Formats: sequence, structure tokens, C-alpha cells
Amino acid sequence: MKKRIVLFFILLAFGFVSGCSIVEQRAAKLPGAEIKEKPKFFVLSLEGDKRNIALVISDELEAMGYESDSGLKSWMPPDTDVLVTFEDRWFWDMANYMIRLNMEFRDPVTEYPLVVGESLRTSLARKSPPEMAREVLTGMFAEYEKN
Amino acid sequence: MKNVNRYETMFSIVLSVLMLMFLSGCAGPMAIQEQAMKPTPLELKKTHDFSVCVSAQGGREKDPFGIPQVSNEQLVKTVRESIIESNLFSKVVPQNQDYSLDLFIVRISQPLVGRDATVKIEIAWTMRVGLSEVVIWQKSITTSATTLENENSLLFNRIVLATQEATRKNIEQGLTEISALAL
Repeated sequence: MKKRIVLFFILLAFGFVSGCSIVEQRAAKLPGAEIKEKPKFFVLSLEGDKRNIALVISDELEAMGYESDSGLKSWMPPDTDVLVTFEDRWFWDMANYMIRLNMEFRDPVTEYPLVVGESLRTSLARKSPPEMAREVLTGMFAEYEKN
Repeated sequence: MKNVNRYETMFSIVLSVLMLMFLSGCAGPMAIQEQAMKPTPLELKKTHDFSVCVSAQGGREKDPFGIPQVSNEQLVKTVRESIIESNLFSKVVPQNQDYSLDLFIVRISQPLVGRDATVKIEIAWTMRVGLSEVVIWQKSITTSATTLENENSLLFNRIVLATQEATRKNIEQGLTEISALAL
């Protein structure tokens, strides 16, 4: 009986732990979306973006070899080719961590989406914001080039 | 012997509590209903004497946490039925259409925790001529809805209700704008 109880709790604990490591990446290109070669990006800051995620994304784009800037919409240079919008979600498990990052490449004038991407990582699979940003961007560029 | 009995009792209690948790969870959670996403009645500027084909991409039934979202099939069905009931287009067809209405669910923002559930949905709307690539109207519409804690005691259900309402508003705005187009 004791063995059965121990086994039961081991299985239960395993169930909880496996639930802590959900990983999902998604990216899609909207039909007819066109982005010029070597585009100039502008990452739109969110109001109250205390963690400066816009800058993190912009830095990752630069590290990938693109010209990029970030800030409020009024700061967007007129020669911007792609506007980048995002939403970051955070969760607490021993410490705050980014659980989800959504990103969109948009037409800078109409703000119509061109490519969308998402990365979701729960506690045991957590990554730093720059790694999450790189993961989403890589998926979005791959999806754009594939189609 | 006494120890075995004690373990059996403990095991039964733990199992009962877990069963109760599962059962109470099963009794409550709602699913996304197409009917609740249908805007009725629609106040249209005018109707169009053409046929239209509706398609959708980017949707999914549930997110990885199991929270209901909006699937492509649900969105197409709801928009299709809304068009038929409002007579926005004279016919909704699966092929040989005069116009194509392409929908793309860009993002559904749902809370992970919290009291009042606010959900935002962005859907990109595109109208094309027939099967061609000629786009005559394009707009990405974002709508939101909040379900208060006192409207439903389960956060899961509040998210479902807010998702339905945000989608309903989006469909209403999209179809109303299409009704104003000069086709």
C-alpha cells in the first residue's frame, strides 16, 4: 500500500512538473505580404514598458544585421520599411520571467500586419528576453522566406 | 495492520479531494460559442448584390494552456452566417465568387491571472476581387471586451465570455465597414 501511495505522488509530481515546461513557437506570413530586401525596422515602444523590451527587440534585429530603431510612433523615421509591434507577458515562479512574447511586422503607414510570431515558454523552459526576441524573430524571418 | 489501514484512509481522502477538484472543474468551464460571436442585428450602410467567399487563417481552438481561443472554422462560420442573415452579400459561396473575404487572426490577448478578464482580439480583414490578388479594401481591426468578476466566478469562463464579446465586436465593425464600400 505504501509503495502505491509513493508511486501515486511521484506520478502526480511528474504531472505538475511536465506542465511547467510548455514550449511553443508560432509564426505566419499574411497572404500577399511583401517586405523589401534589407528593410529598416522601427520597434514601437509600449506605454509603461519598464523592461525596455522594444530596445531588446531592436538590439536583436541589429545583431541579425538589420538597421533598427525603437521608440514612440512620433519618433519613427520617415524611411522606416517595417513597423514592429509586440506584447510581452510575464509570470512569477520563484522570479519574474517572460512567459510569452508576441510580435508583428507591419506596414509602417497602414499598420496592416505582414508577418506574425509568438514564443511561449513556461517556467522550466524559460529564456531571457533577448533569447525570446531572437527566437520569435528567427521564426518570423524563416516563415517569410519560406512563403 | 493498523498502519495499512491508516495509509488506505489517507489515500482515499487524497483521491476523493482530487476527484472533487477534477469534477468541479469539469462542471464549470465554458467553450466558445459561435452564436455568442454573431452580431445581431447588424446596422449596415447598404447591401451588395454580389457573391462572396469567406476564409480564415491564424486561428486555433485552444492555446497551449487549454484556454479556448477562436478557430478558423468558428470564425468563418460566424461571419458567413452573419452575412447571410444580414443580406450584406446576396450569396455566400465556397467557390466562383465575385469577391473574396480573407480573415487573419493576428493576435488574441487573454489574461493568465487576475480578477476582471479583458481580452483583445486583432483580425486583419481583406477584400479581394474574385480569385485575383486585387485588394479593394484592407484593414486590421482590434477590439476588446471585459468580463467582470461578478459576472462569472471562474476566470476561465470570464476569459471565454470576453473572447466571444471581443470577437463579436470585431465582426460587427468589419462587416459594417464592408457595407459602406462601393463595390
